[in-house]
Amino acid sequence: MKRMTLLSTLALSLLASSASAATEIEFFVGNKGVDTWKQLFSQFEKQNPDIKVNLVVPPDFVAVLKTRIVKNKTPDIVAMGGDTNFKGFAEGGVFKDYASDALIRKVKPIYVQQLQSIVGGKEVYGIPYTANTIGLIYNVDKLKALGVQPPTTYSAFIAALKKAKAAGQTPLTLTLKDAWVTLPFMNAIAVNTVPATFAAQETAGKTTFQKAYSGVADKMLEIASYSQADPLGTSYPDGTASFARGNSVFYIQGDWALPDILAANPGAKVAMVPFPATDARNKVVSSVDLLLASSASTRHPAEVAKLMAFLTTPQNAVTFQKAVNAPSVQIGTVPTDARLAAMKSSYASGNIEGAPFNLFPPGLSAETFWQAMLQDKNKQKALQGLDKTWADVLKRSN
Amino acid sequence: MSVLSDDRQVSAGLTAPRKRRRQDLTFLFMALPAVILFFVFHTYPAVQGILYSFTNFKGFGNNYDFVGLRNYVQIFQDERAMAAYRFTFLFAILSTVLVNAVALVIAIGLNSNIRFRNTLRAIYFLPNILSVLIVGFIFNYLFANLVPKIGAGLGIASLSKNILGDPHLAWIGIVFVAVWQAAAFNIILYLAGLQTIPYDLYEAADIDGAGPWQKFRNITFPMIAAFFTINMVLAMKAFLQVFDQIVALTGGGPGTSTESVSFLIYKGGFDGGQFAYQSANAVLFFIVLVVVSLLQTRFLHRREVEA
Repeated sequence: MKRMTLLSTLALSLLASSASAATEIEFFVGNKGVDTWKQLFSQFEKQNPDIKVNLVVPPDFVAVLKTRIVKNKTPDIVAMGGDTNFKGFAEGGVFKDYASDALIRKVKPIYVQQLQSIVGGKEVYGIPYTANTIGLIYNVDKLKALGVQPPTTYSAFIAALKKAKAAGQTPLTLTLKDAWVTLPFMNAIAVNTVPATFAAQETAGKTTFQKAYSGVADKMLEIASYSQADPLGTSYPDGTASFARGNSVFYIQGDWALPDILAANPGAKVAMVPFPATDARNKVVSSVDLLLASSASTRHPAEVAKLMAFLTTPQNAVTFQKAVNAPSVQIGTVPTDARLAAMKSSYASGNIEGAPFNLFPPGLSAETFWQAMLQDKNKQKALQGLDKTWADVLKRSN
Repeated sequence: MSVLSDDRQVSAGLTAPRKRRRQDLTFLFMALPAVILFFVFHTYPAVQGILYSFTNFKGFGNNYDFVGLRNYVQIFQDERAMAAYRFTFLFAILSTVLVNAVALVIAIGLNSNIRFRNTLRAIYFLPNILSVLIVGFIFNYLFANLVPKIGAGLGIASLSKNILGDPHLAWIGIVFVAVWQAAAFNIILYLAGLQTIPYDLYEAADIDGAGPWQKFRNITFPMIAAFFTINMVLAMKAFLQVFDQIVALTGGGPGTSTESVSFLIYKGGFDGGQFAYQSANAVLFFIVLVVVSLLQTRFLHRREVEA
């Protein structure tokens, strides 16, 4: 009896000591929505006084994360994009597989499938948290002045560009000095004209860029011919500011450009429509902008699971998405931003698809080929280069 | 750990060889920290890189295999890598020639008897202490905004747009910024060389009635031949490794028209997940740099002996 009490006091004191020293979880994130993360974490710590969340916001996020992973010191949770970097880490076995986790069932299947196809298997190495979207941004007043409706088909878009040119306006701003800008441009068209199986087929040698992307290249070249005078000399910040000040009618970008436009000109009246890539019904590109991945080798799996569950409650997810102004990935939600009103029906009807580029192998540098093509107008050279480099990159990595 | 090497030490019964050994130990201990630092932060990672270059390592994870010389073979079939080597060599040769010509002219000017000589020397040295990246970003802005306005004002078509956006002209912008920044260091080296020339040589030449060009050709240039060698070698080595200017000005674009080898190694290795492949490229590039530097030194040294 005496020994029992002794044992129980010992056990109690052990419990007490572990409770007083809170478990620390490290949460790694780029520079998106930092203040909102802080709010959510302080709420979480109030509910769970035995857990402390350390928010780390490193400069040059991907490079720092890579060095941490190389040293086998992967942060407990990482919030990052569903991009080629994610593909590399996931294939390297760094992240936990959430495929059979209940949290995944809250997410629209399309985003879960995106993460699966990025890695090329059944595993889901993160929980999609916010999405981004690409579309055609336009200056509301300028379009009204031209007497044109926001275009929903490719021919209407070209007609609008022609009309703007005839009226002495700059129809379109393109910022090709930054090569990456060609990717959203390509994605918005390719998602509607290239089969979703393209990447797998190209790897198997059953199709080529020359066959599948010829039409995409034609459209990119045709649209680009309506741009301002020196698109290759214009960088993304310069071009965004120029469009915000009303120097052109149209701008091709993702929703991440909206805050930049408003920063350059708080009074800018702009809106976005689904990109008019074809004359049929157009699909909207929507990729995973942020996903929550957790380290496969974390020392605190229970605490990490608690925090993941907390962040993905509908209320908290919506709080975060409103703060960063991003379309939600959770089932039953549509974009709430008024400027994205025209995108709502695409989301509601599920007429959305991931960016084709996310399935390209890392190291392809597709953007450099498109940038060169829009400069020298040599479509064949770009498509052949993409085909050859795709094969080379695969040879190097297997 | 002081070594006394005067007579009192010897009379204290220390024999000469033992004393030398004590001295040797002292020098060894003085050199050791630098050797250790160099080994830990330079030699060891370099050897690691060489080992990785024979694998298909991604940069993280533990699932990689030994692939032998495959990476090396593939570099020679990689059009992008070959283009980067071509660009780097053309860029380096041109910039080396330009920077040495510019630096020598300015150094001779700063070495002559002019007012505000020291102030001017300080001003000309300024670019050297600025960060290459900052300078690059400033020039990036100038090429995008100021130069086109001037070009349009003068009615020069090729200058009225951003030259960094044209694959046939972008290299000019990079050469300009690189030379502007690098000249400062070479000016200092040439100034040091010019100050070693005895003045009576020039006096003798004056008496013989030599003109300025003859004096330069027959006295100045031969006398600073050693400095010319070191300037050529250092400039070439630095320009072959050009990186920061490209990051700040073009990011290798438009297309891949201004990709240098260092930039490609960084981009492919860290962004493109080709860690092992680009390690092989780095090893190859290291060998190329050594060969170029050795050839330069041998060729230019022979010139020095003749002079």
